[in-house]
Amino acid sequence: MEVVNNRVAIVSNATDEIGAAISSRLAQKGATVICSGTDQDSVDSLVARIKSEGGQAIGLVMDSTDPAQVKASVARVVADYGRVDILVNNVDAPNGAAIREISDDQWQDGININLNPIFYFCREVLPVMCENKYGRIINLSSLEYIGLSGISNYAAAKSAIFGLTRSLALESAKDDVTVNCVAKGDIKSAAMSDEDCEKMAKRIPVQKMGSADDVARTVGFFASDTSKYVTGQTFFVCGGKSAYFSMSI
Amino acid sequence: MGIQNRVALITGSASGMGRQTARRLAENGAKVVINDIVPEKVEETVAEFKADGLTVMGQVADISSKESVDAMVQAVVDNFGSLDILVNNAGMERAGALRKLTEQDWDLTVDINLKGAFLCSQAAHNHMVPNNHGRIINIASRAWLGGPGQAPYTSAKAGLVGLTRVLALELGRKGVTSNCIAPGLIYTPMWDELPEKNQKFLLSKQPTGRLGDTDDIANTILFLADDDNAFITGQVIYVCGGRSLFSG
Repeated sequence: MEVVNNRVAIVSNATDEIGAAISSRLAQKGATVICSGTDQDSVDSLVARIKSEGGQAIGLVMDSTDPAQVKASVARVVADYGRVDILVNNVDAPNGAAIREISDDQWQDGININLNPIFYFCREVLPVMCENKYGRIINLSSLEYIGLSGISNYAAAKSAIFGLTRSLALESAKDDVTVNCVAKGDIKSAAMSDEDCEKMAKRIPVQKMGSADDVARTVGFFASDTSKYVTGQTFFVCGGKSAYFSMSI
Repeated sequence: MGIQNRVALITGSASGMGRQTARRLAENGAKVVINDIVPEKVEETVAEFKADGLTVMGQVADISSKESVDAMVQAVVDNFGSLDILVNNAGMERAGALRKLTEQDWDLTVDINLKGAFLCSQAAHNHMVPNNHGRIINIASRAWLGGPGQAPYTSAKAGLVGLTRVLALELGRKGVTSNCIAPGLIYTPMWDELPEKNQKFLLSKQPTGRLGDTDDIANTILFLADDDNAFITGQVIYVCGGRSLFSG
């Protein structure tokens, strides 16, 4: 069970299903969670839900693709709490296409939404963590980064997180900061039909889809005080699907 | 949730990482089986655990022998009623330059590190599959990436990585997960016996500047063994303080 009592955690895009599961779990385990998102109502609703579950949460409405907003938001958290202990970079905009269909804008958007926010947040938060000699950064990615046909733009953006994670892990290891990547496989979402889920499940070694809670538990492991010697990892929450691919270890 | 009432066999658990893992599993509610090839070590460990109120049994076995492994697993199931978690932790190393290594160095290293894990996994899965539940955790090493002088050890540990993936793919639909931990430098009393210059050299390669401890491994095992983490399988996780990222 993860140890995150009294830690201050920022979760970006906290209001999507996975972000909400992560935020809720960290809060239930005792962290104060700053839930960020672009929509006021969604942020308020998540914060209210977490509070009703007995957790501590604060809402932060911001656009993580805007470096100025990221800078200002992190500065505010540091001013209020003196530190950031846990940063969960939860970004995911799957918008892949076959190579001849990818426009310049679509390519740029893929990077702007899937990669840049991670860079912006790490740039602000990592120095704070290093100075405080404590930190846990978890970057969310997707199994697709290994490369599937027809999504080269999305795979490129997601796979950049792999290198970013490892570089930052090396940069911060001596300051007791860990930086890891949790790559989700096929996770059931409310938008998926039972039929779609059944089809996808057949192609997964465990014959079931994963849940947002599976991702949240894994994020919790990397966020824990006790995971101090684990850094630079890319860890798949995928029901074994990663074992079909090379480059998965 | 957790590992409450699960039965866990940890090979090579009378000392080091295996022993600390067994302790943490027991403290978190599992019934643990201490295994080693030396009877006195097993007895001493079991006595200490019992004195601390933990649910434990001992089983002496040579994990490179199918007969010994099968008898061990049967004894576990007869005594505790099931076998839910298997930690293939027992290992040893015979290092040496390629020109110096003997056939015996190779055979012994592969037998203990790899064949042992295969035999134990095979015996254990016979009891896990009918329950549609199992957790196999293989302890490889960061050294599976390879270094001079490590032909037998690296090859055996690399084999464990492959075995991990096979078990995950083959047993996925049977409720059994299989994952691998690749520990780096972990403090055990053996570290204290190293010459200071060797210690300094090894630490200079550590991005963290210090060693891990046996709890770093035990906590990772707790995570992988958890009843709830059925969607995590086929993974290799390095618990090495970033050493596996470092080229120096």
